[in-house]
Amino acid sequence: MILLGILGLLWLPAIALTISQAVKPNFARSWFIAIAGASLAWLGTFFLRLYLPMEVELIRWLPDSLYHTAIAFRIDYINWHYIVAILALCIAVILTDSSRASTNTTPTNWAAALALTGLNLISVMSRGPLTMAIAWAITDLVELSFMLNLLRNSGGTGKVTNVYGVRLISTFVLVAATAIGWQVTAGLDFTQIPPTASLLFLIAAGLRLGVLPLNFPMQNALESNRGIDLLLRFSPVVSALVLIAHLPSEILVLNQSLVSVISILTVLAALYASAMWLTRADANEGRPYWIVALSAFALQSALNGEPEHSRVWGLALLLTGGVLFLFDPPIRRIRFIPLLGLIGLLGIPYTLAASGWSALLGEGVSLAGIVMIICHAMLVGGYLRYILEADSAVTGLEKYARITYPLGLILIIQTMLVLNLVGWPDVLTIGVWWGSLVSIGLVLAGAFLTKKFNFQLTGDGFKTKFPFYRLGHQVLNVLRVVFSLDWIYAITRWIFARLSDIAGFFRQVLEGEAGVLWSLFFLLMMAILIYTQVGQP
Amino acid sequence: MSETLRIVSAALLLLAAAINLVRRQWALNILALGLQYVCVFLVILEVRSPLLAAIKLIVGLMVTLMLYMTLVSSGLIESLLVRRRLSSGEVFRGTIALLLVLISILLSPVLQQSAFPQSSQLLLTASVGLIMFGLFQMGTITEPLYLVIGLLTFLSGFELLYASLEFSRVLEALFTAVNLSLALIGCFFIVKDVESRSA
Amino acid sequence: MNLLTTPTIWIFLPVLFSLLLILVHRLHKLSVWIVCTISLLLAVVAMIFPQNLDLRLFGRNFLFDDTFLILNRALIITGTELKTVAMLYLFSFLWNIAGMRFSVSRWFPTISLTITALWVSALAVEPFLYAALIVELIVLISVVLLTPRGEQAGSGVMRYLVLQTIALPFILLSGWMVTGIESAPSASTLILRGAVLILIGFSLWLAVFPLHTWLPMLADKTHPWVFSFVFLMQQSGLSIFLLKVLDQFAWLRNLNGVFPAMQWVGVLTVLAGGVLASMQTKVNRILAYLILIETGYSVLAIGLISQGGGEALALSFLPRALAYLQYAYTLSSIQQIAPEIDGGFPSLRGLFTRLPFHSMSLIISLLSLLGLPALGLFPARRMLWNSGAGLTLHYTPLLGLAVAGMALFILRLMDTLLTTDPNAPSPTLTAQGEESIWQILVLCFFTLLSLLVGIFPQVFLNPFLGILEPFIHLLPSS
Repeated sequence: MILLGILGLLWLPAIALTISQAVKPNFARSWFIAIAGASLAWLGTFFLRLYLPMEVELIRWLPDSLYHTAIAFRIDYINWHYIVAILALCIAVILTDSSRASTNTTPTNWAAALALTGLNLISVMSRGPLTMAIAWAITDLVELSFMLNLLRNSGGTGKVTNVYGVRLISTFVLVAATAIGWQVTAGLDFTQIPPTASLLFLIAAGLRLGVLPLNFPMQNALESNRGIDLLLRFSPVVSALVLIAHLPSEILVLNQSLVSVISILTVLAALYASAMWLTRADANEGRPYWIVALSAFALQSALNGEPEHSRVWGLALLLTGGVLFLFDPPIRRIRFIPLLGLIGLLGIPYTLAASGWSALLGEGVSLAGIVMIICHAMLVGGYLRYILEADSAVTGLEKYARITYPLGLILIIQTMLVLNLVGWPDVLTIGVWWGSLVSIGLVLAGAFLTKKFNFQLTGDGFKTKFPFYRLGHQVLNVLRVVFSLDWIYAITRWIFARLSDIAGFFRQVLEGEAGVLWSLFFLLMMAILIYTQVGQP
Repeated sequence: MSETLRIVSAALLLLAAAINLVRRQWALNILALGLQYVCVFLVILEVRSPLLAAIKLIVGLMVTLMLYMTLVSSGLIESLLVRRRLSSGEVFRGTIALLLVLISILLSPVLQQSAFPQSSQLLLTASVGLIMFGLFQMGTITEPLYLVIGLLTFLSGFELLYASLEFSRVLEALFTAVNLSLALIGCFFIVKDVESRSA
Repeated sequence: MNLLTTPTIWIFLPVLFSLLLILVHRLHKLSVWIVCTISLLLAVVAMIFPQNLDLRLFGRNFLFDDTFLILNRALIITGTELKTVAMLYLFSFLWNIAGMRFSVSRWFPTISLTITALWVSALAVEPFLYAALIVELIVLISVVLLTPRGEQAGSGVMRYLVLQTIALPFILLSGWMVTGIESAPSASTLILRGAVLILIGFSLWLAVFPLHTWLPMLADKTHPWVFSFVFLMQQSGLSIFLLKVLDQFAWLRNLNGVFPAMQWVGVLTVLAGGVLASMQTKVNRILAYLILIETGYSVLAIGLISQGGGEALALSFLPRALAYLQYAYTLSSIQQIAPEIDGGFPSLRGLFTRLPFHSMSLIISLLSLLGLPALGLFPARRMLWNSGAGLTLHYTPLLGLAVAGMALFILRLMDTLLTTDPNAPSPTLTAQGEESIWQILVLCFFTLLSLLVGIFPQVFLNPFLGILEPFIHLLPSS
């Protein structure tokens, strides 16, 4: 009941906002409806915490012997914190949206934010892969319509196809994984994923996250500073993160070499994305890399046999990232607030991310582990850089925005702190304390060197002063070319063009004058085949 | 009916089908089609009473007449007496026609032995010949009249064969409906073709 | 002669109306309304008619006979077969009511009703292999609709006629050949020949790969509305007829290799459809590949009959029809609004800016046919994919490739619709308000319906499981 109430608190205000906008627009009333709905839903999630784990069956496809399917939800320690995080982000988006003079803040955007968050919750709460696939498909279609509506007048709708294409493929990979999983357990839910299918589930999640294979479909498509865009960017990510968290820990019993290949690709993706994150001009430009890097962290946790701990990196992606990306305009006076967001990323003992280190580094010290620490340091470094470089001294904020804007950011920090206490059992742990220590050490060393040699990562001085700049730049460029996958697309396009030529030739032959004779020939072949194959014991 | 008359009918039947395959002269083709139906009637008498066999004759002649009337109304039909030299294509198709006749003669005993023991060799030769002529006609030309003639020839061949296997009034009625509909469709195609040419 | 029979109501009555409608065929709207009313009435009555055919009306009992004797042969529509009849008349209703605004042939209402009645009779005739001739009649009648107005008959329609006619002897001969061979050993030559003849006949009728070449040729030249109707009816009718053949011929269904052969034919047809569709650049032609893919899935479902394929087939009839309806409606509507659009990709470039709802509807209908979760065809598709994967893992990559091919086409189409030609004048300026509110509502309704069917299959699709009830030998549990 509470669950349906939460969904109602999101969707009913969304409908109410749309109607109210159409009938009698009133900015203040709309804002209040939106914020009230989202806040009540957010508070409602804390009631849910008292009943974990809980299951709700929404629709059962009957007869059961035919479908073996129910559209059902399960809320447990694997996804509850994600629900809290998404709702917190939704509120924060609405609270901070009005402070951005550069964007067109409308109640329609808030209605979309509420509706999208509701849809997102459905995929996050899915009990089984089928519910998730359905939720993915609907969310993707809604997002597609919304994005097209947003971009329609600008004419920049081209990239949307790539974005939707990747999502479509990931949905079908999820369906394929389910089909294979069903051979072991008909109507399987997330607790019954067999190891044979887990790799496909991993790939489905990896595709949606942009990690496996590394792809940045959203790059330049939707990197604006509108709050709703942040939700649009995070919505596919969060459900994929939940899927990863649900994977069985026996994933490693699969083909070892295949797992190793995937692991290498994941580590490379993390390295590339965090390096790119560190060197972008601003946080918005770096957003796709932030998402990919932390998603790679989550994937690596699953590959190390601790998928449930991937949640730590998922939360860092959403909450720490949320604080930073919503810190717009980047007002110098309040930059201590986003700095607090680092609590969710650093992983120092007894903080939210502390339990993530063991999953990320695996057992013992490995090369992958070392690379991951370097990646972590680059992420922290980039995060610090974007905040410290904030130099906006905006004074023209509306009166109410002077309160709502920091409130939105603080709400996310609060969420981190609350989750740090009640997120899941044993959330307060020391973790692998030296992981965070090394990472912070690297960040400090980097900061010291930057200060000493007066480096500016994006400035020209950096090129001349940094000793291995040219080499590093070349390596990064090569990696960029390799990981952009443009070469694969080019090869695929070439093969596709040749295949089209061949198909065109055959089409001409078969649809030409002698088409009937060709059909008769095929008929004869079929008859021979059937005659020789059918009836054989 | 004497065996000789049946043999002559079968030979004429194949000849008519061959003319339709080889020559591209509408009036001649229509005449050959009519002749083909008359011969089918004579051959089918082997397995059907004259009254029932006459149904096929009447339907066949109606079909022929419908096509003829359509061609006449189109104004494009040439006189039967117009003489034209044989083209290289016609020579080729003539050779193929000879080959098809040969194949049907050679194939009929094999078919009789292996699949249709109750059908006579002559009937099998005629029906297989018609089916093959029809198939070849359909496979090599897309002009509406010849396509319909090919279809009608193919169906005639099959009706001939099936008549020797089974009798059913419903089936006869349905075959009649199919033949007449096919002729109507043929007329429809021809009219459309003529209209688009004149447009 | 007993006229209180089910064939009288569902075969002779509509045929009679069709003949009467010839008189008023010039009054297009009137024809359409009459056909809509009759079709809907026949569909509803078939759906609610008591299975024992004992109808109680106005306090009186009318016991209907399921058999109508004609020339020593029979037309039989039993109570269990009425679900199929209802479905076919429902399709006729949908295509007539929704197609009212398109300039298709004036004969469409009349002929569509005749075609429906003939499909019912093809499924009702005994001996049932005589249906071959009825199917041939349907083909001949359909040709009139499939030939475009004011143009000569294309080679596609001729090839259609030729290949469907060639199928006729195969079916009829198989019926004669296997008469009374139920007791013969399963590997006897006669049974083998009979099986080959039937399978070849059905391959020609269904236009499975590689005998499908006429389909795209025909789709290219024919109005999408007509094309989708004719081939939806043909596909649905033939699928049920194939089930009937397998149900009646124990020798066929017990023959080793028949079902695997069908599975392979189905999978290869789906694969060919998907791969060929990926390379297409005309939305009209794609309708042919959609038909091909759906045919493949139908054959695969019948091949997987003992693994739940029958149910998958029954569940797919309605959502497939709705997806065809949405696609054909949207395409016809686009061509009606903008006659300069010839269906080629260049003419569709940037259409989204001009007709956003039509563009989205086109994509969603294709996604539905792809089997996207949450849309209409997904429940049936998922059953097939699961069954296929359970039987042999060979099918999974091939079906995956087919889905990928179709998905590639959808993405290419989407890209074309979304990408504006920089040289063209701004579409926002040239085409404001081209989509009427009514059209938008209809398109949204189709999408919503597809979603509802996909999410609540137990409500919308389960009634269609009744289609399988007559096949007591093939599906003893149904």
